[in-house]
Amino acid sequence: MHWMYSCKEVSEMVSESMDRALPFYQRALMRMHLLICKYCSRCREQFDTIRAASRYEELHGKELDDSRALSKAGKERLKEFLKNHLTGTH
Amino acid sequence: MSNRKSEPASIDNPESWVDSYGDFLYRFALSRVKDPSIAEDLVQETFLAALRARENFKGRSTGRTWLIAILKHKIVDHIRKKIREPSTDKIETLTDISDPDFDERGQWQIRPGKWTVNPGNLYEQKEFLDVLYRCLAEIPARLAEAFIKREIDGLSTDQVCKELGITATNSWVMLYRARMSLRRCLENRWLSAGS
Repeated sequence: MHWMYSCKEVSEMVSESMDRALPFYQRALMRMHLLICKYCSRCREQFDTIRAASRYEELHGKELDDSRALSKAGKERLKEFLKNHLTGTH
Repeated sequence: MSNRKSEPASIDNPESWVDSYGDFLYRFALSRVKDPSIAEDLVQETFLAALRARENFKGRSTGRTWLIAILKHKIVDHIRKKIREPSTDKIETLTDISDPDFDERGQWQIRPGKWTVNPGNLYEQKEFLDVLYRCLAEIPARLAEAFIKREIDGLSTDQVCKELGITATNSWVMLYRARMSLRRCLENRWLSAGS
């Protein structure tokens, strides 16, 4: 454990802090570094954006284009498919 | 199987899936792949995977969320197959092992740019999501798998470890590499605003 973290280490900690709670001292030093380092701050913003985008669609699925739908034939095909796989043999 | 209740939207009743979830899944798939027949195939693959994994569902989310999570994996797999070229493996190994972002003292070598995309307003930046999916398909498969489970399926780190059979430390390293690779890929493909 040392006082000055490198940007590489800070970027690792930023990522790790998204997956677990970092120890207090580590978090404090990471934040200090982020306050003075523009590029690490950007890296953190980018990680946040990637996370938000990855989780985005689940929350906003309603905004999908409602006018598109499976064709009738497509639905029949899928139903038939499911039926076959449910019974296993037919 | 024996459960033939006609609940409108129940995972227990696969015969209702097409009517309950079909259009939604199809729309979702279409938003990522433009070809209707591929979108339909992806819905079919999703249903098949869901049939096989039904006992894992255990109501940990809504049926729709669960199916969408499966569909997202299928979409990334599809894109991965589509872009798979013999030469990409070599590049992947290189980017995976070396760390071009930092110099030997751990300073930024390629500095992160300022992204203009607003996470609160992503719907208007659909292209960003397209590129994100494309990048997910480009980074090493194992990293993508860890990332998808954690960030797209929304599993806890513990669950990710269990499903992938890896240690916690391992998962942090993999997720870090995945995020860095995605970050780099997105910068190259989309947002190279620079400075």
